[in-house]
Amino acid sequence: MACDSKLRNGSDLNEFKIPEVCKSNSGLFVNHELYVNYGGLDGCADVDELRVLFDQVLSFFLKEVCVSKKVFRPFPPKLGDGQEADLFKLFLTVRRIGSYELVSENNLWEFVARECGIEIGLVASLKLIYIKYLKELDQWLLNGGFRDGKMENIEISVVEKLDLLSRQLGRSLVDVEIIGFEDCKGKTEGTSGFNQVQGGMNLDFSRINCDDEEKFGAGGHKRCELSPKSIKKVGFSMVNDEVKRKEILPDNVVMKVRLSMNHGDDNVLKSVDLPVIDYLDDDDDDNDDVMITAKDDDLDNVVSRSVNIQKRKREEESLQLSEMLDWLANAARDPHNNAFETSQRSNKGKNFTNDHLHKQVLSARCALFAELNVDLGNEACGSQKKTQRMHPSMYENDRVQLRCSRRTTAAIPCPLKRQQTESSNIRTDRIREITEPHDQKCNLGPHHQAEVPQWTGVVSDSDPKWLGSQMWPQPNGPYRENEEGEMVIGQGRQGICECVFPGSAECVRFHIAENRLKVKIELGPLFYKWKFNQMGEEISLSWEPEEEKRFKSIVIKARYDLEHSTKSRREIMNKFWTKASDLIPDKLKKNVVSYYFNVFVLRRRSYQNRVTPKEIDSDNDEEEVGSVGDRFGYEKIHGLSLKCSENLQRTDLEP
Amino acid sequence: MRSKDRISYFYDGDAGNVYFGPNHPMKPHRLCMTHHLVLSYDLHKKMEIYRPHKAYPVELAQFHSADYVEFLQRINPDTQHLFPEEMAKFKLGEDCPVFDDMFEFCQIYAGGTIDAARRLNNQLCDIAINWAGGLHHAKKCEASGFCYINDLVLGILELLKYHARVLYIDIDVHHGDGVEEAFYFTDRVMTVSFHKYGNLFFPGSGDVKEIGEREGKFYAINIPLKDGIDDTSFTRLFKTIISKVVETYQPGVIVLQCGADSLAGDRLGCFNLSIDGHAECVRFVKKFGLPLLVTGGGGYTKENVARCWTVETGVLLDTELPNEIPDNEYIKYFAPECSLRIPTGHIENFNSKSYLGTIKMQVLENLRCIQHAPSVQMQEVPPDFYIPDFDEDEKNPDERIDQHTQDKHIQRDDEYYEGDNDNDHNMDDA
Repeated sequence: MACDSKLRNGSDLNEFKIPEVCKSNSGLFVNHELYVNYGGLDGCADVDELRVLFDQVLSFFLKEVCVSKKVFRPFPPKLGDGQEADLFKLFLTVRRIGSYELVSENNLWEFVARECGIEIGLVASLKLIYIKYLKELDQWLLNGGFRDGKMENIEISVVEKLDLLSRQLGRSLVDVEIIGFEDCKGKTEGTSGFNQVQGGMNLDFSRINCDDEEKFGAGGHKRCELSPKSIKKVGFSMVNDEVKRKEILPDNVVMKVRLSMNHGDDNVLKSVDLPVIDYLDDDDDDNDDVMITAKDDDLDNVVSRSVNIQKRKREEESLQLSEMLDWLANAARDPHNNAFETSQRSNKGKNFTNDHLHKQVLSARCALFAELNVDLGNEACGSQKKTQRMHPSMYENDRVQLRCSRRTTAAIPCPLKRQQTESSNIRTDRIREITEPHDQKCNLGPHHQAEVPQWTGVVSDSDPKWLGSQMWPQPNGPYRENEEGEMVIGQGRQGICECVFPGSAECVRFHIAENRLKVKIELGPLFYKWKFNQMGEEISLSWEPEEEKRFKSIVIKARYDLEHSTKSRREIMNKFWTKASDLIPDKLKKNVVSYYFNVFVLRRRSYQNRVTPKEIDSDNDEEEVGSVGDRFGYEKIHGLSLKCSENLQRTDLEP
Repeated sequence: MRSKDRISYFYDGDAGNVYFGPNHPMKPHRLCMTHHLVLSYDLHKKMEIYRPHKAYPVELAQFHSADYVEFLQRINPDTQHLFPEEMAKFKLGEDCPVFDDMFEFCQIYAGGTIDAARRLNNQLCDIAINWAGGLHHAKKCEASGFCYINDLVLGILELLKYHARVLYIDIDVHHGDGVEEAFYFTDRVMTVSFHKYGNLFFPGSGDVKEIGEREGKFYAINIPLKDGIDDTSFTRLFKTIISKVVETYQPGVIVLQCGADSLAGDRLGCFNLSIDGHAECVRFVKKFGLPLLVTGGGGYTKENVARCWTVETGVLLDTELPNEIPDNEYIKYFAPECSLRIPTGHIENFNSKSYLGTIKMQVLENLRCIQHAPSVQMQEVPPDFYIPDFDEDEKNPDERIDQHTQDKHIQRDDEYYEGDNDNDHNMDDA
């Protein structure tokens, strides 16, 4: 990053206040947007050099890494229209935004495509190419994969190239992530000092320049096209957890500390504003300034991400978060500072303290990005709720989608309605979406719209022949007189009954039967037409106990297969139905289905109601536990003695 | 407690007994449960219940392409592997499996909505209910999201024969994309859909910016919502927008799709509506006093679907239902509480006030464009003269009186109604 960084106007961030709390605190909780503006490459020469390096590294990567994983990637990759994709540009653009996850989450692929000079229609294939070619490379570089033991046999030159590349990329892109992360990894348990902290802290980086917002929105693209200087937009939050790694405790924290700028102060406003403008105006401006701008604005959307940083060594305890923050504030205040520069140059750590702090910042960021999508929607972050938490999609809508056309937003259809139930499938489904781009346009045309005649004011004929056949009131039914008199409808359950044990199984059963009879008399023949005779547990009476037993056994078998077998669902279920018709030859499939819903599920429910009332779910076919009970009231009918069979059932059903 | 409206309710016992396959969230058995619950509350005494005719392929082809309808008719689970290309072309498989009696099922629910529309057209009722219908995702040439035949489009096409403008309202948690798409270019149907949008939620369409095109521009309204919307904000938004829509558009008839997957605790949905909140929308729409066609839709937690649609049947009958569910065959599905109301969910409401405000403003803004450029005559249809149609080869005139044969054949109710006072007793005010 910015070796010779200097902030021309020397923006004075003196307004940064770090309250005392912060100093005694630890845990970093950054919530709000953090705009980091990085200086780009100095000239075209650099870009070319970088491109050459990138090509070398990529070809090496594809050869070595991909071959070892036995995947073949044709090169060069082509977009949907046959055009070759500029991988370097793509890589650079995505890096600028942050990471693949960040791009996807914020729906920025269209933006990326535009940056790469590719048509919007090809967004999907562009994304696919990124996933196939660059995502791993990105990860690999980030993780320092090339330092892996496996790679020792690789020529030093390549490693050097990689190093160079990563450093150059880092410099041009802002992201010293690579270096920072490596360092962080190098030390056994990680070095970030701020995670020894007990609490969390909430930093609001306030961005002063409100206009800037729009520039990011509207002018942003243009600027990026003009120069490789990049903009990074990130909102994140971080929660520190003493107890476990990678787990967020809801009761963790939270002291809110605001690093806010005084909005009323014109000086500050100016000083931060200016560099941005200079930046835009001066093309030969080679300052690689580090500018942290954040905005404190309630309307501003925030993507909060919580990240749990690994627990670090005790010896690092002396390094406090506050120290790091001080350093950060200082660096922002005076980027000319030698200490700062040194820290960026030296990986070896001449100036240990600064270097260290510098790395802390970077590794913190690194960790944040690495886990950005891990805990998306993690409800465990109770602490987040206290802050201005926003749903990610909110962010997406208000911020990003306004920039996108309707087409693009509509171009991400969700192919499966039921995928919400099968969360594990989502990932693959998404990939399928990418490969099968949809465009709303194709939904318009004679193959999609209904033919609607012009309204002429003349009523055309509606075919009155088919109006349905009246079932109720029964045209010549015996109960017509009822309707003349006072009729009370919509009565609930009668509160009092005269049963010996109100609420007991016998009582309930009696009332069900009573009501059934009532309905039967009232409906007369309709009772059969509406298939009331096929409703309720009653229908089990037409099943032989032997048949019921068989049905139960094949259900258990199918369920077991679904969980343990590698066969496809369709195969298993086909087998299930063939088996059902084999084992229960007297019953049609229709009867079996009806038995399933009217008896089988009902019994499962009655079991669940009694045994696991908190986990009732009659709609899940697969997770049936303890569902296969004796017939409800079986004893009553057959005069068998009561036996408690539930527990037995439960054990023999456990897969 | 007495309903002045004549209510026609459509039900066929066969529709509830089909099975989409194991672990498929769509369970038509919910229709049996709903009907059962409706009867447990004696609601049938206040309405007419009809068995719909099974829609003929030619009727289905009023909207759908003939080859698609023909394929649906032809395919069955045993032969589906022989037609992989057609299966893919018509998007059958995954979400929309081929199951036994699939086509018959489609015929029944589509027939129900078509019949309902015809009864409304012929002014034989004021409100028609078909809980089996409302399958709003089906497209002209393909199945989608558990929907094979788009009964709503067929019903609306039928209504368009008698009405200049039809308003379609959709409160399913999913976007009513099939209906919107079918009428995307026309101003004779205004589609209004309230749905969850974003994060790749099915079907992925329904942004507020989708407003229709050509003549249909501004005649498609989408209200995209986020997870966890609650009763208060939903009903407020619904009332504001719908009252403005009705005022502006002046529809002759309203079609209301009451997908119950917008309820809290649905297996696929992510809203936080209570049954009362959901039913409040129905109540509100009913109050306009326009002819109303009410259909079902999604809803994947069976018990709640049955509860919701029963309550809404009650609402349409102006009947408040007590909370305790009367004993019936399916009481165990409603155990342990056996109550009509369900606990509200605990999903956080991600719809901020400002977000909803923005959406509302945008929708109202689009509506204003209609006021200034009415491309449809804003006059209601001239009164409808209904001429009974005698179909000689259908039935022997003598048999029309024979009630037992009525079920076997589709009956000409018109005759029956004209000649007899039968239908008066049902909705008398005496």
